[in-house]
Amino acid sequence: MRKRQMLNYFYVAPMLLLFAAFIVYPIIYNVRISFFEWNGISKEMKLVGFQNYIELFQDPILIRILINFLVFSFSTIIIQGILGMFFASLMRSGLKMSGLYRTLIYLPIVATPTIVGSVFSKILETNKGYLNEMLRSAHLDSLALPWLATPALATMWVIIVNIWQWTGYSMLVYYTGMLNIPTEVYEAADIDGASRLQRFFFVTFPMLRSTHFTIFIMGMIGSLKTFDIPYVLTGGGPNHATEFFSTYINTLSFETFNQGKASAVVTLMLVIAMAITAVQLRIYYKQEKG
Amino acid sequence: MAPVRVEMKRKQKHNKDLVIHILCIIACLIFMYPLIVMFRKSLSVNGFKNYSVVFNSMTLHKNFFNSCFIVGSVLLIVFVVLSLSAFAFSKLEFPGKHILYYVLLMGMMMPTAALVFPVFMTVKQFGMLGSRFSVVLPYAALSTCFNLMMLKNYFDTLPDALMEATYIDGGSNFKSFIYVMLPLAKPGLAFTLIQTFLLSWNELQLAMTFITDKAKLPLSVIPIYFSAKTGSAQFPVQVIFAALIICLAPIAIFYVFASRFMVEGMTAGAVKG
Repeated sequence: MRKRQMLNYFYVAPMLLLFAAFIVYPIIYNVRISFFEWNGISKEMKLVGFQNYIELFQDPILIRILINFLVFSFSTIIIQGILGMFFASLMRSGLKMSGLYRTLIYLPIVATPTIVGSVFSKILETNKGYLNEMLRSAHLDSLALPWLATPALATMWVIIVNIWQWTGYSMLVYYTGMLNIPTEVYEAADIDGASRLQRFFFVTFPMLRSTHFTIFIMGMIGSLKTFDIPYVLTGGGPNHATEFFSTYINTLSFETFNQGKASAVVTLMLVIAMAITAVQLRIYYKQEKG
Repeated sequence: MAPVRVEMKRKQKHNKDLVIHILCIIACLIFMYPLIVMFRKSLSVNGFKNYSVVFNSMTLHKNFFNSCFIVGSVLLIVFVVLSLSAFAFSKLEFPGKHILYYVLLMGMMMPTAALVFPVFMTVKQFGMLGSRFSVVLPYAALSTCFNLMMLKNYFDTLPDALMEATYIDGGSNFKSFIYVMLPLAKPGLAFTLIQTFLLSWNELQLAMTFITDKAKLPLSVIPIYFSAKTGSAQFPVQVIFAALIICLAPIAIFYVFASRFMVEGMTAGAVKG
């Protein structure tokens, strides 16, 4: 029996190989390189200890990145969550066309981010952008702002585009969660004479606890990884205002050739990812027990 | 009295439905707006001629075949690797199984940015930089990690008794996997392979770093080269929009066929766990 169990390793061996080569190895590589001064090209590498980390923590761009990460993740999670719940409850009301609506709201998710970015940059362009053309033709010239050239507005638009793309996902996750709530609970609420709003706030919302949690974790991880939309829409600019972990790593590795520092940013990012995972496992553990 | 009340209730319900319909239609318009803008602008000035300009002056069909080649290879690898390991973690026993499973799940958190440079160096060492195959294995690794939990959960819903039935018939684990479990796991597999398709079709970061020759790029990267061309005499804005529509077409057509499985896969509880 023991030998037979050993044979079972063959089933997972291919995945372990991929995991070792493309997950474990890159992590070790980055942690190691983060202690060197290296441009990523030459043969010469200089061991500098924690120099890269000291530089990184004095870098004003890092603070920008951390603020952007927090603002981006929390506003996305909250707004997307509310919209997702709202659309999911509309879908739950058993409308004839709800399948079609669901499909259309979910559609942006499959759209290639580079295409989404290109279209939105045309819409938001200052002089000939469609949004500003519309505002001007409505005689609201003062509202026709340089959307992507102003730091705070550029960040706002990166967030809005991201919400536009991913609301369908939240909707579907909440919709699934709502399907799992037993109908008896609603019947009981109806007998007690609960109104529609009361039903939502006292029955649906609390019963979706594990769904809220899934949305939160997926949102945090997604925000940590975010790259495509800011890269295509703003390129991290103006003046690093929309810089995120991934865009900054890309710049350091392939534009300013400071691989030591890039690897230090990667290491920091991995530490944050692990912290999020730890929270996730803790709460899962609590749920299993409770 | 009673029929009147029923009538009133029905009317109320009717009004309520109307409000929901209007809300849904407004929402759909907002979500479709950028796509509508794209399509309208792609037809401005010269109508469908913009599209023929694209077909005559760009080689998007090459990029389309590159995408197909890359995604096809990834799907093949993910299908084999993922179904084997999800099956093993769900239905077989071996020492250290649980720890191994949780370690592999950590791969879900792995940001692409963390693997771009190390894998870039490896690919360079093997002299594969610029080759379409260079992105296949990294995509396969990321997709397998991302989908392991979903497919394992799907296998968990299939009764263990089916395995025992195979043993009684004198079959091995592998036979039970091929002939019993794999066919039953089709819906779960379809869902995870669709996720894999989307992830590798739309990927940007690795593809734009590893492949620089435009003739070898997948379709997902091409739009970043358009902005440089916009406004030039040969490529006015409407032509660029036509090109964007063409780039979007394959994935939109895919979505028409796949959306049913995607929604069903999610609502079947695949995301739970």
